[in-house]
Amino acid sequence: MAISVDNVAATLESFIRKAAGVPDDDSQFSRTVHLFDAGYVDSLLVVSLITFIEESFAIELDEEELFDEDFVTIEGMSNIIFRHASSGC
Amino acid sequence: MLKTVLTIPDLCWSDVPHAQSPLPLRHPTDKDQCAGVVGRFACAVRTGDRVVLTRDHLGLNKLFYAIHARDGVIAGNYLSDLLSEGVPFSAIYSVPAGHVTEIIPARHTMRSTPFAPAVAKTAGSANGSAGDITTDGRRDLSRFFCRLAASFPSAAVRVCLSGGLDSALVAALAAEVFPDVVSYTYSYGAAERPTDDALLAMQTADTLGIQSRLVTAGAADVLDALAQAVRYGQDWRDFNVHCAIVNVLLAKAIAAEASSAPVDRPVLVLTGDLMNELMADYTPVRYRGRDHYKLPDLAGEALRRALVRGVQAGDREVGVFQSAGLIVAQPYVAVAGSLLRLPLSDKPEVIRALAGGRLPAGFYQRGKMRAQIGDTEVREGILPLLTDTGRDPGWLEQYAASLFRTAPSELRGFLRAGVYRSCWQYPERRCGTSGYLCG
Repeated sequence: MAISVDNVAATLESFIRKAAGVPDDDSQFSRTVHLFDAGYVDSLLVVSLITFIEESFAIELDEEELFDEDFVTIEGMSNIIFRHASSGC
Repeated sequence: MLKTVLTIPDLCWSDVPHAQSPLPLRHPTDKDQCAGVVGRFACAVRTGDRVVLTRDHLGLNKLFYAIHARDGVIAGNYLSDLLSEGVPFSAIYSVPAGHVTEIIPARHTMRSTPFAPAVAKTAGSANGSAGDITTDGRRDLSRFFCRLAASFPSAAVRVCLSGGLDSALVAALAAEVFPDVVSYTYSYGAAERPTDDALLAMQTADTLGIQSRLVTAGAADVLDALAQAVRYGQDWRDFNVHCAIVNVLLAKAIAAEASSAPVDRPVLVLTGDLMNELMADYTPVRYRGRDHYKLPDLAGEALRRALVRGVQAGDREVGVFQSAGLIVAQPYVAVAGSLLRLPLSDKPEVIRALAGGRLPAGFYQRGKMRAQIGDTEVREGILPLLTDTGRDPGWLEQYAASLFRTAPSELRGFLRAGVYRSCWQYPERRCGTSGYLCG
């Protein structure tokens, strides 16, 4: 299956929902919610999340991406990962 | 164009194959030069219209900076120093570990390039036998101590000794090359009732034939140390704050004794830090039905990579001891390269290989403990005290925010996945009326 921003987002959403214990009926949770400010991802979970991203998409995130202003929502992360994976480096 | 408040001296050397290269090496400033340096450094120099900032590959020395629209760059080791210079917290950035950051204020350009990863992609996939690698490590460790002895021949060496293996080996190696070695051990509570960990440490010192000091501290001392632990430890996460408190107390005792010594000599503090990260040897601690010092949900090499990467945030060793005017060295930095090539192994066995018979066999049978807890039962100590008085991780974050004159949410954006906030494009937006620039 070719990688797309949407399936990257779906993969991330599934991981975060499970790892952060987000209930299915949590109406605040979305692909555009600020994961850190809203408390869905804390300093521990972000470490697991980065490892998950790197292993799932065969990329290596550097500090620049970690502090990218988009790296706070599922949508933003998905765009970063898609760009990274598409560039092949 | 460049103002510096770099108060922490570098402790590094060129990684050339002879033991007598000068230490410390002064100001490695370009990518090629930095790649061959072992140890800790944080440098800021002006070259023409450029400001060049460099930081060691593990990020042991902290290097923060801010850019002023008119005055250029200010760089320092401590967040609190930049804040004292009028820099708003939101304008402070860190040079990532193992990077060279070049800033040209007149052209509004900047660029950060890595010169060495903290953990190579090939970590754990040893090229060579485990025996060869630990032989390399043993050689590197011995060389490190020879260099230290050559650079600080008259130093009063003070070893922070816990009941564990890591600091025991550091003490044993120090005793071989320095004439004046004294161990310092922290114990919570009364001197008549040392913790289990402290008792083991005292036994270690006895066995190694070095003098020892027991530094006892009660609840009031621990709470008094909290502000320094956060300010100079430059972290608000409980595991680092609790460790930093132990080090504040040790540093205070070491500095007090040094100041009353009849002869004024440099004091060199040695710690067994880093080995736990290099061998991913951490476990959460259970207290009152809750896990504390939780780890990311990772295993094996992934956990080790995360822990080693995380060394670059938090300053519980270098920052804390230096704030008391003490030079600190972490000898295991010398074996980081070797040990990271080694697949994750049982730490006592790695220490045994590095020690080469220096430590008695009985040392390897001891259970793991942490100085900030003191015994395996977690009855009293820094963790129980702070937890029982409501100083939990949320409280610590609020407390740090007030110390650093910012908001908790800003702190969360400043420290992410064990890395301080860095800047990758020249910031153009002014932070309020300060004149400093934010991204």
